[in-house]
Amino acid sequence: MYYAEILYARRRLLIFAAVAVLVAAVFTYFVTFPPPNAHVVNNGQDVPFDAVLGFGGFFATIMASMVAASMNRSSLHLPYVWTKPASRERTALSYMLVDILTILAAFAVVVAICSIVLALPPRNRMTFDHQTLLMLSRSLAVPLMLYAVVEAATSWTPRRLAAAGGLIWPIGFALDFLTEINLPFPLAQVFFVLNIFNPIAYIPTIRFHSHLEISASSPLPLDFNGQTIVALCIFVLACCIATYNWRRMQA
Amino acid sequence: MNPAPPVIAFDNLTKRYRNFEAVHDLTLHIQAGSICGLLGPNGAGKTTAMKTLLGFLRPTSGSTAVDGAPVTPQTFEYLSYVPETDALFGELTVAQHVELNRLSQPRHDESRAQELLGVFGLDRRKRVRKLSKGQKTALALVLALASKPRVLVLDEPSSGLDPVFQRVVLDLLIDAASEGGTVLFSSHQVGQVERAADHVAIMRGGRLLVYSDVDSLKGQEKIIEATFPSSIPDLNGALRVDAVRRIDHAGNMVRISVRKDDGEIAQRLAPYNPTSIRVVDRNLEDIFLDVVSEKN
Repeated sequence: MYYAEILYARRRLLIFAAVAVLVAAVFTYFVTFPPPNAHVVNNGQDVPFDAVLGFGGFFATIMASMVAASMNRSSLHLPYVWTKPASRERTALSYMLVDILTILAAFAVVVAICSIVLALPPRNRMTFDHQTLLMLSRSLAVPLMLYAVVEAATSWTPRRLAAAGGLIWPIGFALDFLTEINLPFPLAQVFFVLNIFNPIAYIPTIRFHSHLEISASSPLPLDFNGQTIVALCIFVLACCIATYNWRRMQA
Repeated sequence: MNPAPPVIAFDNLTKRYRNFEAVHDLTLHIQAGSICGLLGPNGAGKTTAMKTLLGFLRPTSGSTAVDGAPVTPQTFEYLSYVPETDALFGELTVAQHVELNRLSQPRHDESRAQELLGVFGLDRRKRVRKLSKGQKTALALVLALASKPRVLVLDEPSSGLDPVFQRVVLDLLIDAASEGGTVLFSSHQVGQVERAADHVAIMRGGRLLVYSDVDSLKGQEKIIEATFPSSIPDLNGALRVDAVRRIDHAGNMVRISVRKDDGEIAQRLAPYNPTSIRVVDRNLEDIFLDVVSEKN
């Protein structure tokens, strides 16, 4: 059954890559041939690779919401999917593996395009620092977490919940906002706990002044690395829940 | 000698959804090489019974088995299912579905698949969402039969097909059974069951009302058709016999359903001077309508 998911994910990845290439081409054109009254500095700049990774992670999260809810999406096809000589767990894992590889591919596409576009001018330099590996792991953890949370939230029912991949963005931002404001007991505590499972809350904030600042915005009082580990743990847990729910579903 | 164990077995199966009992205490055994037609009006419990057999639904009580054991993923190496609803992938082409079947079914026979695509005239490049309902049914059948299954479970297998392809489907089922396969199929069309099935099960309201082989079921009752020259005389006195189940009038003809025909009814009609008397088998449609319209 992974073949059907490969075809679905491939189509989304091609659209995603085509849009990324188009945006990069437009950006390159305006930087190379800026309008007469525009001031564009594109020589001798330091381009921090951490920022490129953060950019890639954000767009990989968009890709994650495009391929998420794959088990729920397959609910229309269960009489076909579940009558093959493969266990439901194996089928679910093959779906998730294809989707995860697609998310990683989308991340690689964005990072590659950004690196080429930003480093192309001969005098620009890509810079790396001690945070690069941390940023790489966080940039991958957030899209994977979003994907798995949507899977877990939608895999238990044969009813179509395919829009969940898109809805998680406004819901996630709203939840993060509600956690920030001072709400009375017990609402504040409820939103705090819910926000732990909100992938949007784990998107790092990148500011670029004289140097790059990466701020962690997780609901948990942990350092950047600790939050990333929590996000990856939620990813694994949510994948297990999604598989269990899907296996138990009646159709 | 013990009879061979059934290939498909429902034992005291009950499936309840909250307050609604979709299937009640269904016991049905289908032997190898048999084609069983499952008949019943909408809501009779046919699809629920099939879905429970295949493991899509958990039984409330009772059990189901294929080859003496509950269905596992390995069962689907030799069991194919054609669902009532369109379960194919709309975005995939016909050829991609065949490829999907090849990758997921160890027993997939590519030459058989191509042969069947030709039989149904399916365009390999067409996306499934652009196929008609009948073509989707045909593709589902192609995929099911391309795996050379030993057990076939089909829910309304000729739904949406034109009469020519309906006949093709029935012939394919008969071929499958003649090669030792076991077929369970549901249908609203009694004629299809009569043509293809050797056994018939009739359900209504979740209960199995009749399960019998088709020939003996039809032989259990006869219809005596007596035609009179003008109007039908008053026959009430003559037909007050235990064997008579039902009397229908149609113009100047009277149709009498009898449990057995030993010539007594014909003798009783003779004094009324009918122009003709003939004894015919009841067809399955008559039996089906009688069964589902009977109270309780």
